[in-house]
Amino acid sequence: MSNVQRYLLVALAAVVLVVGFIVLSDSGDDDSGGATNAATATQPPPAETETTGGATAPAPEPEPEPETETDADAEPGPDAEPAEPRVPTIRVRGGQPVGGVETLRYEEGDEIDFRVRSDAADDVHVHGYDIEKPVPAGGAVRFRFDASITGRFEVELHHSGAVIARLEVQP
Amino acid sequence: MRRRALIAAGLVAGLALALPAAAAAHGLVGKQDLPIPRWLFAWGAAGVLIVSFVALATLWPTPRLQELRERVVWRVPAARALEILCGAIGVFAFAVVVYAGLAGSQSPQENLAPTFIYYVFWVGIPFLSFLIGDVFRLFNPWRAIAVAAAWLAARVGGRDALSEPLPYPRALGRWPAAIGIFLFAWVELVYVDRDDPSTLAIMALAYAAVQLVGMSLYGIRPWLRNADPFGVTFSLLARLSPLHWRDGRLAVRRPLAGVVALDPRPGTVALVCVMIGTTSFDGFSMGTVWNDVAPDVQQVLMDIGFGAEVALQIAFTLGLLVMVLLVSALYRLGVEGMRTVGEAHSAQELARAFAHTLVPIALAYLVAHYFSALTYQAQAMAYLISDPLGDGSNLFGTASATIDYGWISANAIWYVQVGALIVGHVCGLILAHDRALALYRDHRAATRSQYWMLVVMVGFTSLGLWLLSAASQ
Repeated sequence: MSNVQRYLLVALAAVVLVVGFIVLSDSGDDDSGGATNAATATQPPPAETETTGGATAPAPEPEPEPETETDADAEPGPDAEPAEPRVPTIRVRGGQPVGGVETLRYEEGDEIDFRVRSDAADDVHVHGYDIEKPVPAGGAVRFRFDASITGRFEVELHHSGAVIARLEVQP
Repeated sequence: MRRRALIAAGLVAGLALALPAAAAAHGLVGKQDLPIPRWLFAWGAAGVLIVSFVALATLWPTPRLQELRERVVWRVPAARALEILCGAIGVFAFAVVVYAGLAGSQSPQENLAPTFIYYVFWVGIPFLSFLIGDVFRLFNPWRAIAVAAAWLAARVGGRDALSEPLPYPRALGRWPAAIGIFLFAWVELVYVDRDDPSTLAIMALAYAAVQLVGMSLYGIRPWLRNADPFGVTFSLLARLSPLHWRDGRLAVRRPLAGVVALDPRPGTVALVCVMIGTTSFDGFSMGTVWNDVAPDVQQVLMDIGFGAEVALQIAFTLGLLVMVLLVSALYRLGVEGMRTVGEAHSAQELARAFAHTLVPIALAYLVAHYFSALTYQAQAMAYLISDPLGDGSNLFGTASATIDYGWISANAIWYVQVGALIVGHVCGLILAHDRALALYRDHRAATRSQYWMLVVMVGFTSLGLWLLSAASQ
């Protein structure tokens, strides 16, 4: 193979790679547009959905998920917040999230909005965004903030150290 | 009844799922990278293949890299004084980290020790080594202590005060380094108290003690060249750098030329495989595949009679071991394949002759997995140096600094990750190609041997891409 042929081959490969990159990254943007800000379980579906008896009526939006529930569950807390079926709620019992660690998915620029309901008092810490709020025993606390940083973040109970949920913010 | 059973089942399932998840995540960094999207995975994989075949067709027909040529470009003024100063800085930093770990707050985020050890030291120094050469040798605290002690002993007791060191066993080679890095990875990825500052400080002291004993028995230089796990690893990665510091002089060499000159002592292949395998397991253990498997393994071990925590650690230890063995097996496959192309080279000869080709892959894995975490935790150093103990002090006025997680976009991180893997792949291919030309007398045998190395390299790069992708996460 002569030197000229070599250079041509390298140049051809470079062109193929650049074109491939552009084509793929365009179509990739369309793909990611399909993501929703609904809470979806990455772990196997929580077995406890049966216990809540499908408390959520399916809304026209794709948002409500099995673990999204009204306050009509077995744990009447002291907070008199009205039921808001569209706000995902992470329920904590015995220092662990009921149904396992869920991932709440958002896109950059969305409003992140979820609640943590716990049987014991603790501090709830959202990593990365570094937001910390106390949750009273048997009560709930609501987090609302803009999804300004992309990445995966853990929501952690500060005293028990348990991870109770993950946030995923896609660009 | 049914309802209650379901609640119980749900709780058990929830607990079982929560356990490995809580154990897998490194609690130090507040943000984990998003998996690379499917389109970039596809492009990366296609890129690797295209680059590989172009390389096969166009790489040079005679060896070009085997001869190491270096040019001294700078004589460092007052080199001796500089070495003493750097050593003192190293010892001081080591002392501060150990003191902070023992005396400071035991919250991993507030204490200097965990961030310093896991990010500044273990990730930061490899990046620096690759960019500006083997700087760790200058700052190495246990080396500095040993050199000072030897100097003092010679001053006080005369030249004969120190007995002649034992000859370092040749067969041992770099094995102590390989085992040491595996143990460190075990602490970082498996051990439940991995982030506990005082535990880390005690382990750092124990490590330094082992190094000092080793150096006193076998001599400072032979020990550091073979058996100081961090020193050996960092100098291995520094071989990729075009800069070479030696005896007070700075020499320049072609990129990759330094690693070609690597002497393949026993344990070298093991060390590189441990580096790649442990980094792989760090990615793998975050993923869904592992988090589906781990609870089952844990359950089996708990049935045997282990406690939940011990069982989980055993499961993770097995995973770590399997990953290292898998990486070694892939390399071995390439070696066995090369044996089939003619010319009677033994498996050991071939394994050692191509060991250096895995060094760029190891660095690529390191960059792909830890690049973003390093940039975040390096920012954490801003407040940690002002408040190393986490007791509210503010030595330099930067205690209230925070980490800006948004400084780099998710897209930019993905490009760095995929780019690192592809560049590492190309470097590995080039090194293997050149070594084959030098090793095989017959040009055709050299070319055919490289189909096998191509399989190995594509295997490593695909594994690396897969670990970063949504498929595994």
